[in-house]
Amino acid sequence: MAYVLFDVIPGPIQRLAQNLPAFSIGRFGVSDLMTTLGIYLFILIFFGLEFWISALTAAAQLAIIIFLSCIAVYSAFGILTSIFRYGIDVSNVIFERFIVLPGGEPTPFTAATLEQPIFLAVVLPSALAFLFAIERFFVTFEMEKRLLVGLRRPGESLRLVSMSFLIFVRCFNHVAHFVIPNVTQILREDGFYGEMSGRIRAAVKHIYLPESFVLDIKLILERLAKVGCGVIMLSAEYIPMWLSQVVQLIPDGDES
Amino acid sequence: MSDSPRYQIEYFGTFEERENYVRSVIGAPVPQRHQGAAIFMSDFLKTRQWIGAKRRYSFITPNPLDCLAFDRPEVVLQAAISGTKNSVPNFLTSILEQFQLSHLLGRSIHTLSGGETFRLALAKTAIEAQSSADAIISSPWSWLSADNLPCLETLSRMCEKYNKSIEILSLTDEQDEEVFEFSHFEIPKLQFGIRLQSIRMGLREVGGGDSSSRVEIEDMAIELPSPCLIYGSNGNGKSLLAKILAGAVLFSGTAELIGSSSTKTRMVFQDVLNQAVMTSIAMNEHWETNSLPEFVFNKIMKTEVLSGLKSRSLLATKAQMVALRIQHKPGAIILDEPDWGLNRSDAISFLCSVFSICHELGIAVLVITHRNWFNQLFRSSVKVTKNNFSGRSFRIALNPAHEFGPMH
Repeated sequence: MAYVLFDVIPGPIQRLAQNLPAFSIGRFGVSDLMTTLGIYLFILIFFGLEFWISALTAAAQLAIIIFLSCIAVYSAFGILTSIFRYGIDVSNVIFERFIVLPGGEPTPFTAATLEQPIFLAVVLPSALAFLFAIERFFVTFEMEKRLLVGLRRPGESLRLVSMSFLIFVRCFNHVAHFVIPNVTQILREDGFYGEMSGRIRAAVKHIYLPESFVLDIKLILERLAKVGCGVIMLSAEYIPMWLSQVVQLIPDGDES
Repeated sequence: MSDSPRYQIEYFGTFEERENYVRSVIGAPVPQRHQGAAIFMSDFLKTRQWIGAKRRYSFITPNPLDCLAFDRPEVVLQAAISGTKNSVPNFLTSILEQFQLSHLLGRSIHTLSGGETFRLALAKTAIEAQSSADAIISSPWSWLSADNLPCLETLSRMCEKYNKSIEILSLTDEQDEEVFEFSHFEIPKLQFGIRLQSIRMGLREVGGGDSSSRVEIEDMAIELPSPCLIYGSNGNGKSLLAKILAGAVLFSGTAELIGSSSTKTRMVFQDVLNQAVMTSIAMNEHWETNSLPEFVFNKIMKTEVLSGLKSRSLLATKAQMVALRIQHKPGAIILDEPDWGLNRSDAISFLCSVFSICHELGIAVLVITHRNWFNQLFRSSVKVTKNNFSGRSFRIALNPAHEFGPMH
């Protein structure tokens, strides 16, 4: 029965959704710190304190979840490993063997675990600020109208640039004003947020049960990845239409 | 409708036949939904043909929102005017008045109702008629309530003025307004409660949205028999009310739709194809043999009228969405314009099947429609009207009736 429903999603995308990595490990150094401060300053100046706080709050919430998840997963693996290697005496193993190397250097695990929340705290506000900036820029400066003017000017290279930007603007607007609100409503109707909240609570409950915990996290990430794939599907299917509509905006006799 | 319509109407038996016709005429510029990566690439490559084409079309897709990719109606119309070399003073003002859009200019497009979105698409088409575009319009009757149909005539006059043609693509019997007679059902009761609803409309729906756009819904608490019809003119808040009841939008206050078995309410959206994409990609398990969803799907699809339809048709998708939504036996299910994309006989058979199955399972049904095809199917109704305009804010009033008689 279900083949009817599943056939409409291309196989490669389904497989991709099932095999996406849990998350990417970020790296953070002095230059990243300076960039972060710059970004925060930029956000504060151009978008205000309220936006910065809300973006940072969202980032911090995610960061805490991932930070705790990292510790839980690695600790669980640590316990398992130490049981195998040292019998049941694990008291000295987890914090020394898995946090600090024999020479006193932090292990790669420590670095990754600590970097992750910092990385998120930079990336998420930056991404939100970027999207917000695009939206505000297009609305405030009537980008569309300017690009349309460029589209009608003589000169193939300028026209090509205008067309490219126009297509980008249309795709962006489509995603921002059609796909995302639609998907949000569909997910709410589907009880997605309650489901996610339940799964996260289950994962927290299972934090000392490595196998269950890993399974919970895997299910959460799979579900999120599938939502991501759905959004991509809904966004991509309109691209040919936007291409043709942009071409139609070129006045008669001007197309080359 | 005019006695002598100035547009040509083509009739099609199914949604799929109509979509195939559009693609044969226009080619790539319509979204081919859910057909896979290969079809997408084929469409993408076909856009080259469109670039060189001398004959172009202005078109309105089955869901008019699909062909309007801007944040505000104002920008949609300005872009259309930019493409026409129009220099007539006050041209935009004139268009806004003719298509009753003046009060909607600054609203975000996704907060417009279906009928308002269609009027905007008609206005865009009217502007594009000045350039080289003939118009192809899919099923205006699915979106426009009777009081808004004159907008179609307005477009027709404008196209005639600029010597452009309009082709309306309709499904069989779609214009037929004859009331369908039907015997009554065994019916569960439906407790319908609304308390101090208010919703902010904007991109983010709550918090960051435009606080000047605000909708309030008047209190109502009543018990109505199922199936219940929610009706009203375009833009009065029918779909918004349904989305609030189904928890699809954020709001303050409480909304309850209490069926006999559960307080949970599920909803099938008007553009069920978008909803199906998210649902199918979220589902990771096959339906088990003899499961409730399979039973429901088969029961809907194997009715006499619907049995000949393909399993991947729009109707099959609707049947699947209903089956998935009632598998956990919610208290009620809401169908938003279930006739969208269906011809009259299929729509009536579909609704009859859904009512029958839902009532068998003790699930109440609410249906939103502006058509009078189904009048005799309903046992109660709620009329939705909009009043107290103040800027972008308005108030929705609900007038329930136990006895049927919504369109009279």
